[in-house]
Amino acid sequence: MTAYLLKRTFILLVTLILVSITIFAVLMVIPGDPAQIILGIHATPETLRELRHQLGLDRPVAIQYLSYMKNLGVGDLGRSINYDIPIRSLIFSRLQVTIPLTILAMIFAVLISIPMGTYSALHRNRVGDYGIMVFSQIGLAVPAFWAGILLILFFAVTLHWFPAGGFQSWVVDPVRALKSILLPALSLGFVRAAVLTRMTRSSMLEVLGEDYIRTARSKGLPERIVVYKHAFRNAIIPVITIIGLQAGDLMAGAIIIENVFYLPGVGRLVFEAIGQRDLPVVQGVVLFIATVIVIVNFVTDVAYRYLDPRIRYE
Amino acid sequence: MSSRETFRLFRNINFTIGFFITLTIVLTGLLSISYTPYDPNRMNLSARFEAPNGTHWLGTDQYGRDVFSRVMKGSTNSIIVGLVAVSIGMGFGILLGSLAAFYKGLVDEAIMRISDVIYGFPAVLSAILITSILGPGILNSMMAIGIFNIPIFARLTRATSLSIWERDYVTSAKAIGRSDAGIIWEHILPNILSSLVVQGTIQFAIAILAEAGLSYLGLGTQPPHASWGRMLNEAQTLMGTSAWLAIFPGCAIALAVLGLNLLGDGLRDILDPKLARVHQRSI
Repeated sequence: MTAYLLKRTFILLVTLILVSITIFAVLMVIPGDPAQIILGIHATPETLRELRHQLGLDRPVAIQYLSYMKNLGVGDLGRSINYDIPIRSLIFSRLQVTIPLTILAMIFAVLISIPMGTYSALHRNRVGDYGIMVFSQIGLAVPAFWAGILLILFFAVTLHWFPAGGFQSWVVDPVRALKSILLPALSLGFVRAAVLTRMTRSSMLEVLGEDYIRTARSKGLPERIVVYKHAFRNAIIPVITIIGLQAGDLMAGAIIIENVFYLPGVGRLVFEAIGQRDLPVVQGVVLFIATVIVIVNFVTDVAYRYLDPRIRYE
Repeated sequence: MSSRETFRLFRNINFTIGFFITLTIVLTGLLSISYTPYDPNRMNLSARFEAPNGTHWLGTDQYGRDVFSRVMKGSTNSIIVGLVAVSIGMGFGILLGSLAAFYKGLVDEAIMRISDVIYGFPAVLSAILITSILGPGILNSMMAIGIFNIPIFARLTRATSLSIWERDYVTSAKAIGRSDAGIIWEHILPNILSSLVVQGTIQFAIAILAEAGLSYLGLGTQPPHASWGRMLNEAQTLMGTSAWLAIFPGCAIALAVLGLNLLGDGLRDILDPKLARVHQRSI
């Protein structure tokens, strides 16, 4: 296990360095001069030269990269051109929306999918199973942002139960804050639920066909014990892996959903930054999300092997 | 294909439903190149916000443009984006995956690490990066979705071809002096083709979803061209009074993706049952 962990950690570090190089390279190939973008078209050559020097843009690329990495090492993602504050602070302030949104979406997805997938497997080829499979096919086909638009149309525009968009700070009005993220979380979670339902069903079906389940039944154990103590506990392991992998995808999905509901999260921040040509913010947020995805995938992979001793540590 | 094989394909309910839905979308896309009931971009201010009726089957939008014609035209857009994005992913993915499986060792490790990096950038993130450099547009969104597809096909090609390199017939081909490129072309690729076709169908569906999402954000297809995602974006502020604007383009996306997913599921059941548990990844 230790050797495996060391190898995976090494691979994680290499991947993170490659991610940082990719994003740094993007900064290098951007047409135009970042100093010109910051100062505008009326800047004099002297002020441009001065700013380039301050930003370190007049140094060799390798030195710039090392300096960029040194700053990243202490969590410094640079400063926003538009807001003139550290990008790290900007991202952290927006996480008060994005983190609860993704967690709630995942909770919805799990609450919908695990019971449905289990029921579907236990009632294979019956009406309930077909109904759930149709639901999961529809869930896979419906874009999360369209689900969000339909939820707004029904619950906000027609019934007025929820706000159609916007966000109230958790500190000012926690109930309203929760209501603001319920519909976006439901639309994000609905799509994930479709994937997880299929996964839970197929995993349960596979486990229910194993010899030890037959043995448990032939011993005369009650069906409830066989299903929930023997089958479910083993079937859930691969589902947990998919839940982990989806956590990273949810961050990316949140970029679109936050724009549907005008939520001031990390996704909305990057979208606004594109419109304002605030390139350091775009890069900072993309680096942040890509890093979260890579780390979540790493943790999921390690956790899977830890949870399932049948997987060999190669 | 023999009639017996065709019968086997159409006996699979997923394949049959998926095939006919996809065929309808493709034919609609092809038809819209030469014919739509109205010019999809022509504004008619005297016919704004008309609800679905006999003249405009799916109603009209805020500029009086015919929604049905725009939905038709949007299918061409989605098909082109899907085709190009999957072709980019398949082309580079198969090449990289084959190289990784053939050379193994350091080359394999390097290609897989690059795949890990690309995998860390879902289509929407790649599109944001590319857009921040090159600006929004359909070409850039196709590129972003295509790049996102590369590691998926590279991993699949590598995983499926590794075992085929160990088969006896490949060893025999090596023994009689066939070149490595010849072996890949004649023995490896034909044997992994079914897996690639199945995955290609599923990635096509994901590409349509990704394009719709990017166009919704304003990073994909630009106005006035019709795109399902863009239509939903424009409809959002108007849906309180004109709900049809937010419903029909979404139905079109869901139907196209549903058709391709069912087609992929059906093909997988028929061609490659071993792949049956490969899960999908969204944008």
